Amino acid sequence: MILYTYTAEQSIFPVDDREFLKQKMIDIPGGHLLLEKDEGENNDGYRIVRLYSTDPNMYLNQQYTPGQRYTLE
Amino acid sequence: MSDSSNPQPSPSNPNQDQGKEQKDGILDKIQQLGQTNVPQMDQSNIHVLTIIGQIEGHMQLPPQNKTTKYEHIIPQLVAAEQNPKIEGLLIILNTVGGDVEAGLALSEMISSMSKPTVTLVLGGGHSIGVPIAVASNYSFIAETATMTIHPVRLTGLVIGVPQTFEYLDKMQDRVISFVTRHSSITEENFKELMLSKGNLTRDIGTNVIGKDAVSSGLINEVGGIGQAIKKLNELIEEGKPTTDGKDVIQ
Repeated sequence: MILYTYTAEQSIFPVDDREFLKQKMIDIPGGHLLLEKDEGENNDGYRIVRLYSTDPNMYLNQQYTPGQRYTLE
Repeated sequence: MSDSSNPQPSPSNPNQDQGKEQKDGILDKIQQLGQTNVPQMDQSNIHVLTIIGQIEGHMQLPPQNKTTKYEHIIPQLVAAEQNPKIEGLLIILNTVGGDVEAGLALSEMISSMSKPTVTLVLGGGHSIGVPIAVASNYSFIAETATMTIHPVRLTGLVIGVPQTFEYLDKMQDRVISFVTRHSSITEENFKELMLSKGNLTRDIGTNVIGKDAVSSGLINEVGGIGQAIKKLNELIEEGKPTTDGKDVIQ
């Protein structure tokens, strides 16, 4: 199906609310982390999707590398 | 000879575990970054702000969209302004545009910073990315990067009265006045780019590429990350209070 319209995609196909629940933004010293629930072995785990920071050094920190597992305290 | 005669008993279990963990870590890194090790460096006096994907306004976009959220960028800009260790800010853009209010808010924040700022447009700095690109003290655009200049648009429910059009027109004037105040393009030229026909498929506007953006006066220079960092360091040096020659020479 091809839609020819100027309407935004999400206003035609509403997004499932559960999509929003999967992701989580948390504050870390010096920036934020976007986490996604790691659907696998354990349900408490999160995986880092993206690091939001202005400090270029933080992007070199292994702890904040995208894909790294992250556990919330 | 005597050295090799007595091999130490190896603590096999902990070593194996460590080895497995390390291996997993490397696999993860290859999966995510495509390489095994990331370079290390010292504390940086330049901070980097990336404006990537769609600029999100008050409406939250679905999680699958790559977005730049203004509520995250604004505190970062405040922190960069306040932190005495940060001497300059590099803003890297690769955006398709987005919310006008959010985009103008970021542009105003960047333009009112007291520290030197340099922007670099890579890939694209479209629609509301244009005011953000010109908000800095000096702007660069990659040779292959593009900027789409087009009138303000609205999707969703619109009340069909003349006032709606006037409101949109005023919104557009705010964008035009910001861009003309912060770059050397004239209002006339910018409006011409914005409202020209035949450049975009079935749409009004112009797509300016690298050199064209510089020749129209929108962007200062064609360049990449090297030139951008060099310029930022120059601006930082210029901004430093000049010391007496006597004090410097030891």
